[in-house]
Amino acid sequence: MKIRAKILVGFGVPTLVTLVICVLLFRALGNTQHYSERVRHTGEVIAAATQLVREAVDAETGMRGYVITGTDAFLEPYRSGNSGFDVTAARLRALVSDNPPQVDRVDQMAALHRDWLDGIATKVVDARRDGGFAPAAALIQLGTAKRLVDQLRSVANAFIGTEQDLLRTRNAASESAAHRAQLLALLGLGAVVLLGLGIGIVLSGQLAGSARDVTKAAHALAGGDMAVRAEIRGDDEIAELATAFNDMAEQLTAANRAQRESNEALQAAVQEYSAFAAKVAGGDLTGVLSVNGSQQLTVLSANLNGMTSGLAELSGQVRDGATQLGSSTSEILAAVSQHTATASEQSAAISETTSTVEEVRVASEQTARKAGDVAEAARASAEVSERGTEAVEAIGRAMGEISDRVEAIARDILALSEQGQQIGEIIATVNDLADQSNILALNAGIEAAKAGEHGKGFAVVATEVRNLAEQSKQATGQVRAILGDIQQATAGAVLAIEQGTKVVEEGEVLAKRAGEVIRSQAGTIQQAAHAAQQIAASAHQQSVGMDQVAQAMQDLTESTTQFVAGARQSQVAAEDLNRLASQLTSVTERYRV
Amino acid sequence: MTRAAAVTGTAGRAAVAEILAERARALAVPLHSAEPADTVDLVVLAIGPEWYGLDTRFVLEVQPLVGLARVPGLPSVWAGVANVRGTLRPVLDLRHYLGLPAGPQPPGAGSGRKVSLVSDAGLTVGLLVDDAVEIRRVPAALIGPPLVGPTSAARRQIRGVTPDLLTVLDVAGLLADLRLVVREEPT
Repeated sequence: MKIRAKILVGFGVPTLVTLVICVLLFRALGNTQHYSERVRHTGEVIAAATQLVREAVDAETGMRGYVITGTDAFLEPYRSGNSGFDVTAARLRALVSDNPPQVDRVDQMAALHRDWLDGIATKVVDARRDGGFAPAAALIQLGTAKRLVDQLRSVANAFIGTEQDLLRTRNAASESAAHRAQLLALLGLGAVVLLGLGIGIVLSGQLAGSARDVTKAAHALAGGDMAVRAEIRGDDEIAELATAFNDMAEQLTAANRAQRESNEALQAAVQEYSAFAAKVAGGDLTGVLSVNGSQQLTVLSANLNGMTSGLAELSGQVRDGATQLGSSTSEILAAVSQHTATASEQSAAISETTSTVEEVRVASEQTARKAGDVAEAARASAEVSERGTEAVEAIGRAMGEISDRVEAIARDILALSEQGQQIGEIIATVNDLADQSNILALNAGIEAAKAGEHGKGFAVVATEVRNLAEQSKQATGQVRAILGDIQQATAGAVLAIEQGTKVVEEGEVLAKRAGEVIRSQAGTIQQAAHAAQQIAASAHQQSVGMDQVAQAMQDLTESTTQFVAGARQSQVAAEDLNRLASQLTSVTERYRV
Repeated sequence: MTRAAAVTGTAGRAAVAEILAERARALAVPLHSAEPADTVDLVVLAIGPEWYGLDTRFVLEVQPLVGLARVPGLPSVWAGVANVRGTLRPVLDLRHYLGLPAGPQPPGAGSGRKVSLVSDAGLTVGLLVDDAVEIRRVPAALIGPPLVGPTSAARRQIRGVTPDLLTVLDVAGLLADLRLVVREEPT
């Protein structure tokens, strides 16, 4: 059983029991309520019966009061008692309808009251009202009324007694039901408490015991006791935990054992390796390590074996190297003496080179001077061509002005020509006037001729006027001729001006072209000047370079001297090396291979 | 100038007055000196290079030719009709009438042709000529016989020729001929 199921059972059983007890209690309480209802009903019946008796008595008392007093006020209880009796009797009958003997008693009481009312009371009241007190009293004294009322009372008493017996019986039943309910509640509570406690104790005991066992085992394992195992009880989760714990303990034990074994193997290997290392330190390189143990140890021993063989090889190489070093140093000594001889020859050659370099330097300085002169001349040429450009530009401007002026002249001449036209028109007008004058003079002459001798003076005047007109015509003819000449001349001038304009334009073009030529020439001269400057700079650089070469030659001489000194030092060093080689050989002798 | 500079002062003044009087005597023309007894005043008209004279008594006036209107159906000697001072006058082409060849106007002549109004016996006609030249007084005795061929239709209308080859036209005869011509017109 799993822990979940256990807990479910532990809580479920008490809950179920409580539920059953609650249902029982509910039913017992229902019973009790029923009995209380019956008791209350019986009380109600008794109260109604008592009221019935009182109303009957009220009616009788009212009747008697009326009889005694004769006052209508005493009839009020009589009437209300009668009417109330009927109502109460009906209610009582309905209340005890489940009990036939009691219903019979109620009917009996109703019959008695009706007999009383119809047989006696009504008569008494009528008698009193009609005949006065005496006949009414006589009717009462018959005693019939009293007997009827007594019978009614006895029946009522029996009725009430029966009801009171019922009341007692029902009270007892109600109390016993209440007692039963109390008992049930107590017993149920006790049962639930006992059940809950019992299940709790059993469950907690089981769970705590299992967990404690496992915990104890774990503590023991942690303390180093590898043999300890947890007890497996039941089949719940704690049992599974214990099983897992036991498996873990097994594995831990196995791992512990393996580690101890590998430790021992490692110690043995380390001892072997230290002995091997001591041998190597003593110069014995013949030893070989056996290969065993773990993988890392195998690698280590292989590496150590490799190292010793490498060492052996190295010592052999060192020995060989030392031998070679000895022979090489001898060769170096020979070479150094040869170098010393060569250096002397070199210094002689360097002296010759130095003198040549000096000559070249002087030549390049001359070149630089010449190039400078050329650059200066080119600059002067550039200035001249600049002036030429300015002059050509001035010519261009002057040409522009000439062109403007010629245009202005052309405009003036055009205006002149127009004015000539106007003069021509005026001449025509004058001519016309002269014609008219002529005709007028002619007509005047005709009139004068007609007048005969009297018109002679007038004829002279007319002739003079005609002469004037003729002269005018001649003058206008001359003016026209002059005007024609002028117009011809202006036309010629216009033509000349057009040609002049063309010439000026050509002049402008030519000036522009000349300017361009001079400018291009100036550019060329500029380039030449630039080239000359560059040549001068190059020559200067050449000279400087020659200086540097001379300096280098000087340095070379010095370095040759230093080289000879260095060769001597090399000789000493080679001897040292030779000594070192013999030392190395004696060191490598120590290793046995 | 030499003379004007020499004459100054009172003596000079007298000399000047004498000079002026001498000049006046030289310039003075006597009013009736060598006046011929019988003269004719002629209006000289030009048709081409030739000059023709009309007696001034028949000539009303000379006007420039303005607004000549051709009239359909007229004989070709009639140039047309012209309005002269508000009155319509028939205009005769004198060159055509005289049978002269059509030619260009002489150089130096007036800019426009002229119309010379002539009148006789209530008929007024305009004569179309190239130019009106002058008024000339000619002695009647100097007018010789006309220089026209025997076939010329205008023989009757020519009065004669002066020594300087001025043909003098007979205006009365010309107008009479015109009247005949007009009468011959079919109505």
